[in-house]
Amino acid sequence: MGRFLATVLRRPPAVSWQPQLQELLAELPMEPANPEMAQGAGLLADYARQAHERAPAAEADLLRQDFMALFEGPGPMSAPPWESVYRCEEQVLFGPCTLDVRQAYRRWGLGLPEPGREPEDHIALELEFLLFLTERGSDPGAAAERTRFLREHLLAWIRPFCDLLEHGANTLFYQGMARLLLGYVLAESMIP
Amino acid sequence: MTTDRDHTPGGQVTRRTLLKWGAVLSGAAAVSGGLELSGLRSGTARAAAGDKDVTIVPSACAHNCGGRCVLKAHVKNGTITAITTDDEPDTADAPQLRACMRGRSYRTRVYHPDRLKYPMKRVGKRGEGKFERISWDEALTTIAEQLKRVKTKYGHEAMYIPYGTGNAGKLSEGNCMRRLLGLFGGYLGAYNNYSNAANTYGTNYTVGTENTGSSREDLANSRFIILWGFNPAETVFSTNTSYYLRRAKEAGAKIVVIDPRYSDTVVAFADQWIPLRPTTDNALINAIAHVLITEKLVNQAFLDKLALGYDEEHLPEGTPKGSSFKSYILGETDGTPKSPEWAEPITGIPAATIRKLAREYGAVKPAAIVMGYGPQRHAYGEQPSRGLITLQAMTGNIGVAGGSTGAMGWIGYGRSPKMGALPAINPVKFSIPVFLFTDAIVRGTEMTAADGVKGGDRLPVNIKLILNLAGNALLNQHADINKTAKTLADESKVEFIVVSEQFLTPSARFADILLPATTWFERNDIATPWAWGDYVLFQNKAIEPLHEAKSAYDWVTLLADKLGLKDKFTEGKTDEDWLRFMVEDARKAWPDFPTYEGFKQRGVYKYKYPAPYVAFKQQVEEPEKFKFPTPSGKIEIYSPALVKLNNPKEIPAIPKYIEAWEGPADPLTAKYPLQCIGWHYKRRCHSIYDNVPWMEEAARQEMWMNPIDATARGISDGDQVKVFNDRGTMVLPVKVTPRIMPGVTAVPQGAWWTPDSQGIDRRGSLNVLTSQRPTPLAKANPQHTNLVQVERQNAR
Repeated sequence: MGRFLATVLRRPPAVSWQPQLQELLAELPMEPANPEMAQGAGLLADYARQAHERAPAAEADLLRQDFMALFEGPGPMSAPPWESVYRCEEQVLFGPCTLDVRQAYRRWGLGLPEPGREPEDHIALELEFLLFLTERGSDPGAAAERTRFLREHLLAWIRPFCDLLEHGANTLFYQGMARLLLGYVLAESMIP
Repeated sequence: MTTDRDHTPGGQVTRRTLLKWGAVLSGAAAVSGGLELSGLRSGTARAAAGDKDVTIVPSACAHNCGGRCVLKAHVKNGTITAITTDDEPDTADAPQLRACMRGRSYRTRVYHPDRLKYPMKRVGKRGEGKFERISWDEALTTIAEQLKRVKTKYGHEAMYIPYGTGNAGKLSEGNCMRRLLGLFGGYLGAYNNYSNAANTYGTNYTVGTENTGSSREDLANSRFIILWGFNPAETVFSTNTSYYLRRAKEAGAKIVVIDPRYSDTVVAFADQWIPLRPTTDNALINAIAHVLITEKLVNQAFLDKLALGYDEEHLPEGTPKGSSFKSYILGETDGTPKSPEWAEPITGIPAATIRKLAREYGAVKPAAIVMGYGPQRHAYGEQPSRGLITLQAMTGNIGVAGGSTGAMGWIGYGRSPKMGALPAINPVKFSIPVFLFTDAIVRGTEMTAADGVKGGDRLPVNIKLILNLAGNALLNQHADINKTAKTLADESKVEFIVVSEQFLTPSARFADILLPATTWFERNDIATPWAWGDYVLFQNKAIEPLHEAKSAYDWVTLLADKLGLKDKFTEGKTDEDWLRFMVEDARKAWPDFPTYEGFKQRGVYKYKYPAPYVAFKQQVEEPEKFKFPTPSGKIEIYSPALVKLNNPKEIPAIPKYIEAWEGPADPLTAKYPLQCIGWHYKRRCHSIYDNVPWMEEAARQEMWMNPIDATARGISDGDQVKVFNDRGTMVLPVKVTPRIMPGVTAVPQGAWWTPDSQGIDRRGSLNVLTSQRPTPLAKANPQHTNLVQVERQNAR
């Protein structure tokens, strides 16, 4: 689920997500870890039903527009997807928390292909890092880093971010994603 | 999926659920069009001890407030963590070039979340603000195709680069593009600017040049200084101008400020504030002249020797009797002496105040009048410059230490080292006054010399393609935004608009192709100050371009390649090669100029002069040998060249008070009783920094209104007010304050136009109220000439 979230929060869809979602939601009752995740799944199910009635291309357009308005611009975004916007006083990119995230990635030999051009504390990148650490769960260093990273980073901004995302989104898809993301990060934080 | 192991912390997430999400993911990857899905890469060097080291990289803030200030980027591991400013020794001959709050906030601008990140193409209606991300290659291919299409269909005169940029530099988008378009075959040229075009014409027709200014150190030699609509405490107007005023004040000069607003300059420097109704400057000038004449405070010998047309005895041969300035002031032809009593109801200044000012000004020597640009951004903006030169001539204050030429002007450029520039030649001979570019869109082929067209009788074609390069004068800073927006939205008029920008400004919303620009911290460049500055600044690249932004030289080179002009455009040089070439150029004339490496490393070169520069000293001291660069060789208070223009009412031969349309005497005051001016706000440089939260916190966007006008409208301090005239409506908070004279309101210029669904601007962008009617002579922008009405917006 982390990878799924990282994907949909990183890039707008080129075509509609609807058929995949439809299939998923039709086949499988959700088994949510917490109420937030359940609400997210509910919103996504609503979305899938609604989207079913629209042409896929139009659907993809709607999602793309919503994605840009939320995360990309041009112009002010309703849910800027970078941690430092929420956590540093100036509300800009590349704040002290970004540098801390960068250092955490580097401790594990991870980084961006073109360092310095994009902040490392994009929600999708933080989710990827969380997955990376989770996959190395047997390594006590990774487990400690995972706990620290959740506490000092993801959990420190996920609520205000998901609030903006939920209220700023014009589609049920991204509204659902807001709840799902919050539920996911909360669930992850429960795992020792 | 979260993990490859089962976990049930909330008790419920099962392996099967998570696997199913994984299936959606593979679908997602397939539909995402091949975009990079995984951001993080392994193989990055592990954290090292050196990561904590901070490098200090010299750069500069070179926005066009007139200041150019040192900024130093503290860079840690490729990221700017702090900005400081000049910390070299601060001495009287080489004061520090310290940045103001705008420059110091620069990190919040560079790293603003709203920076444009990728090239985009318009997908909705033009101006609607709907865009879609595209690749640089697609963007540049489209631009190249459009350039070729417009060249074939309409010719080069249909291509236009609007004036103004918030991304200035030797290698700015504008400079790169002018070079490329020149090589491509040319573009419609432009002259004038929105800052001081009327003043330039006023000074050219009076003393033959716009280089009328003395150096600022000379202010300390003045004993009496009139700052005429001059507000450097807020506008900066060249780094350290306030410092030189402070030195003058410490040396004992009395300072009087004439301004409808009690500006920060009044707060900081004034012994006396004289509020004047906007557009009535020449009524006050006339009344001062009247007192000088009637109380025998005129330096007649100076005028006899150096001026044309002050009195009847010094008019050119064959001029009708009564044409002199003196006759006009004394009312010898029109029966109206221009006395302080005559001026009082026009200007709003009590006659006794005018008389006292004139007596003091006439008696204390030397006296300087320093004019700002505001007084000439008016309906008849050419007149104050001509009038103030006349006053300084009448009192013999021109060409002397501690005096001034009266009008605002540059110091002689000969004083500064000439830096080289990116070579550019425009084969198209046609040019227009910048303020009339929207006319050239709508009725270009009707425009002739009467509209200021130069280089031919009539424009061959309307503007069809616009390259708007990091400027906001396409819309926001041009007059009458609502009218301009309609013009630009019409795709049958301008067929293609490119905008290169750092943010989605109101102008950028009208792009067909939108390109993400770098800031100075993301490229190497050189900043040169206005002519008063005795230094040059090097802007070192401190960080990589953000997101997909490209520096101008990089993307214009790629565009040149698509036009088959790459080799001609680059001449095989990199951006740094060109900067090196410019420095070598300066070194030829200035042997002291440092090497390229030395200049780059220090980030600044400050040079010193043996003595202050006094404009027109030679012409005044040795008039037989040195002439003013006018046709007569004298100060042309009476200008035969203006007579030839045959519009005596609006372009008189001598400086006159002309009642302005939308001035305080316009019958339109019945409907719109308040004058509304703009001012240059300390929190913005034009429209730059409007989106920086620190600046809004320091100085919010608000209208100023006198308590008398507010009470009459039931308006209280802090209310939301609606400000409107026939051209537009805005809503913004009001500051009710005696710091502005009754009958006058002021909205600081440069706020970003933010129309709601009814077209009402919710931000307070002055230009929804301003007019596109140009001044008669310069065809300049009259953007402080507006009548409005104000109402309380919200019920309390």
